[in-house]
Amino acid sequence: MSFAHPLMAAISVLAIGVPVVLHLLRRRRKPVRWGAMRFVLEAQRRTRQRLTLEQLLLLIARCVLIGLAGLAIARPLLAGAGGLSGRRPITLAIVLDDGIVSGLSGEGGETTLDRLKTEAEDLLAGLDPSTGDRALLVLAGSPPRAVIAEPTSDLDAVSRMVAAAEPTSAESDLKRAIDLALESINAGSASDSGPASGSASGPGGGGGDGRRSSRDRVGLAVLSGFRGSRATLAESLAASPIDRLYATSPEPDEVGNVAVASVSPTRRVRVAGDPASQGVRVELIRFGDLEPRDVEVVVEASPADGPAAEVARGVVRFARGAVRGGAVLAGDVLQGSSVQGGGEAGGGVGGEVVLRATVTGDALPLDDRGLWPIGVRERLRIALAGETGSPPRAGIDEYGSAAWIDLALTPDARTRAGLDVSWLNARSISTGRISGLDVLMLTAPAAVSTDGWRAIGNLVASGALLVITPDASGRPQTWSDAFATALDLPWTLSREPSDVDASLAVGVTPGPLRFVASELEELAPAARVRRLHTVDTRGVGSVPLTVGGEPFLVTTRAGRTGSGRGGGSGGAELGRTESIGDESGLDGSGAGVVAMFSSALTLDWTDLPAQPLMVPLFQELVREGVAEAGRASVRVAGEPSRLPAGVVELRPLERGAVIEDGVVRSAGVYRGLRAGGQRGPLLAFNPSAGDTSPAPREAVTGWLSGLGSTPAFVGEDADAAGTQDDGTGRSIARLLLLIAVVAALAEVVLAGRLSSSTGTLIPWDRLRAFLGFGPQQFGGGGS
Amino acid sequence: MAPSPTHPEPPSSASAAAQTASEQAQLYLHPKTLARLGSFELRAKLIVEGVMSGMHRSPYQGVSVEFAQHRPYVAGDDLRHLDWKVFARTDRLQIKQYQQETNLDLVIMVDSSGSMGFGSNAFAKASGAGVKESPGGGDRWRKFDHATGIAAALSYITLQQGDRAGLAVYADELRAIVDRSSQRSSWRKIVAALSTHVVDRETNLMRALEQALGKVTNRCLFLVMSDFYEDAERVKAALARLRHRGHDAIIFQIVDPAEEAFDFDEPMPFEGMEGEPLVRVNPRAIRDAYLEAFEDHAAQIKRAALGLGFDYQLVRAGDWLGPTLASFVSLRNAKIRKSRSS
Repeated sequence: MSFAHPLMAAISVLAIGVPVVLHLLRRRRKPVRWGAMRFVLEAQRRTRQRLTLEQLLLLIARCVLIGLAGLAIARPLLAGAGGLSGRRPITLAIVLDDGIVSGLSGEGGETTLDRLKTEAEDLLAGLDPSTGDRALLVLAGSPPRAVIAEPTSDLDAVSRMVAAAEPTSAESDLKRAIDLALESINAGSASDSGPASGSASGPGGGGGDGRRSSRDRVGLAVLSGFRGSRATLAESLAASPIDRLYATSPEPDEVGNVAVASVSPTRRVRVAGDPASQGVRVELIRFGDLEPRDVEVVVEASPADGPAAEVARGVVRFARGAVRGGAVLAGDVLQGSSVQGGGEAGGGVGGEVVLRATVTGDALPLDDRGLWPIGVRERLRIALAGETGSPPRAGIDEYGSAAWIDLALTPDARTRAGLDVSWLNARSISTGRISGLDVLMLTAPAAVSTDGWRAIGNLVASGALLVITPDASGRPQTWSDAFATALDLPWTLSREPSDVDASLAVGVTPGPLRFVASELEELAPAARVRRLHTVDTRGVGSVPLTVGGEPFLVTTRAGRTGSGRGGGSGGAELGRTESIGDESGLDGSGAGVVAMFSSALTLDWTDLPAQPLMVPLFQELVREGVAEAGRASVRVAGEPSRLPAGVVELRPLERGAVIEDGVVRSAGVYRGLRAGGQRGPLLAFNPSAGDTSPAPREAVTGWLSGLGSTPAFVGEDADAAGTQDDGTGRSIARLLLLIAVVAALAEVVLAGRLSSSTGTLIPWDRLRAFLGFGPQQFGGGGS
Repeated sequence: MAPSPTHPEPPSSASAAAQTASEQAQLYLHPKTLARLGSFELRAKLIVEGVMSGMHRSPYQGVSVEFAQHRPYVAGDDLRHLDWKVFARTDRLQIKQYQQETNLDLVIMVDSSGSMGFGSNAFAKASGAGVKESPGGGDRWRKFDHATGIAAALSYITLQQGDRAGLAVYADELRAIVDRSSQRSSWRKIVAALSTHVVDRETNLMRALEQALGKVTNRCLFLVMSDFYEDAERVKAALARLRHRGHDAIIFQIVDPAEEAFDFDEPMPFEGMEGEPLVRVNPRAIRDAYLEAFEDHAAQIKRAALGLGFDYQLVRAGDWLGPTLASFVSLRNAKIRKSRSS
């Protein structure tokens, strides 16, 4: 048992001895010479046993009275009962929900987060650092982070961090936040038995030692509006030894919210010759109010660092009960931008335009916009790496793969205007020769040297597109191992080609060819393939085209991170590969794209080069591949991601902090910066859609109860009035006071009715004597 | 006529005080006044005169055939016994006394044991303004002070009426004795004997009575003044011994008001005055038992006295002596009448 006021408890224990001391002090009185002493002796003899018992009971009653009264004031605490010091110190972990929904404005403009911060301040005010109370702070905006990871007694620092919290653009992850808070507490507890830990991390870490005694109580405060937490509440929490569990009450009212779910142009890379106007697809999602509604959407386009110009405006109509709605708005995305009509002169890398789709008029403005950067290129630099390094001069029947590809890429002058196609001998591939390419078409992989593969790997890792075909010679293909190693791909290619003689078929996953899916369905069956190498993808990549069930075209994102085009750091960490065309862009590392044909693109192997499919296939493959490979990724704030390859930090184009760990919680457009300050890709972080649907209080209570404690809702439950107040402590105190009152009554009865005392503890007799009304004391008169 | 509670200013000298007191004797019957006068002789005289005057009846009213002596007339004497012849010759008022009225031998026994030294009243309060200490130096009006006052007064009355009076002061044994005599000069001897101090001895009435009875041959009236703080059975045995020897007795049990009340509040040590051990007691706790024992003891003494045909009177130290002396005179006359009738 511990006490809220240990000093008081100690005093009360000492005070128990007061009656005994007074009893002993009273022995030191001057004797009274008494004439009728024989009667005194006789009376004492008669009453000795009764008096001994009465006085013993009286002494016990007085000691109990004083002791219990003192202990009641000291506010005892049972083990595990929670609350308070002298009372045991409490380590309070505050989980503050700064997710996007916390930016929901209420009446008077106060946001949910403002209310939560007030509750947090109240809880902190209830702590007493002088008695060992400490706190830590975890912000629940995804991904949760412990801004004060080690419990600290510097509550002012915690308070400052609470005050500094702002609604993020990420959704909340309360479960991980709670786990993180409990891990932090347990880490503090564990460090208690080991060597002293270092200084506390975080801004408030300097105020406390971060260690928690095993006798300290654990408190957890989950401060959230619990909106949109239906999925979270479905996840069970692991029981944890928590003494006090606080929570804010769920916000109960329905609040309508419309969010921009996505905005995307039909072309993510603009090159010269592309149509000026193109479509922008905007999708909206709404929560709460599901009545029919028209929502106006405005699409603006702006250079990465320039003013925005409206390029499209439209209305998205929601039917009754519809959650999602969308529209395709047509407009010139380069209108008003500085890159219109040519962009940056010179190189193949042009400028960027950011598309912003905005809706207005709801209580949660944070998710009212969607972002999408568009790469604008004057030309795409494409190199055709074949056996000869130059275009064929012979007739069409002697065209190799490179020549057919060249023909497919530049079928007319308009198309040629946007593409800068050059030829390259595969044997001469080196870093210097291929640096700056957007696309490398490698049709003679067997001729590539070891250094050449290394250069190719770096090229792809920097965000280029690699299209590779087997040699048309029919010789055993021994280059596949070097290719797999350089590109960090698990693919394997059979050494010898196989005869198939089958038509092309559309694969299950269209990959970068999704925009021409309909053309593929129509044109692919006309192409026949006679020979191919069997490709084992090991499940990695997309297979847009197949032949006889075998992959004909395989695409994937691949490359090594950390080795950028500008000569990034070597010794890179191997990045993971993924399918192209993942719109969520979960990884978005900026690694390039690899597209491999399993057949040489010559007429000996397939008639595809002579089929109508050839041109749209390569046109689409180049544009989408380049967009995908070097895309200025679109991500969702708060979701797991890594910095793009070679990028060491992200600098927001608008206001905000520089991001070094790749974790972005504030929506916006960020410029990736490579080591040395070189400009990297542009990344857009869209806000998470704010689900404002309220969570039932019972569901929240039940969910939190999974921790093993029943939550006390701050501001509502009496026991949650403050961390200093503890219901159990109060009830025990009341019980002790009740017993003390009973002891007092017993004392009065014993002292008064049984005439075995000088009176009750209230020194009426002394007071009376002091005031001169007391009985006159006298001694025997000496003669 | 009841005495007035008001008191005149003390006289500037003893003679002047005596003169004033003679005229308003009833005003000086309060113990305060007695103490203020300071002299046993004057005190006793004033007491007696006050009492006689208050009663309007002289104790000298017996009829006898054998003249014994004259004595001065005092207020209250029956005028029928006034010797007019002597008045004619000497111009003095003399009362004729007869043999039957002078055969009362009074033996006053005063307990001077340790317990008689207890007193709760302040001497200044009991004796009146101006006198803060007893002649012995104490500041308390002790039971012994009260007893000696009564003894002096009664012996004075007795001698004034021509009876014989003797005194025995005792504790565990006789400490002082004055043989019986009807000479008025013997009163000074009595007063001198009363001027003794209490001794730190326990009471032994039996032994004292045995010693006193050894000096008495005729029937006497024993006046025993004590708190009788000894075993009641021993007291009863001693009184029975007295009765057995044919003596009459009046028992004055003198107690202090504090002893009767025992109203202490604080636990404190008590020390006996007759050698009892020092004990710490809680008066509130034992008060009931104490009072029960005290009253039971007093009842036993009273029962023993009355059972033996003696008179008994409980006297509280510090109270006005008038009722005590009046009671004595009344009892004394009743005894005389009884003896005559027998």
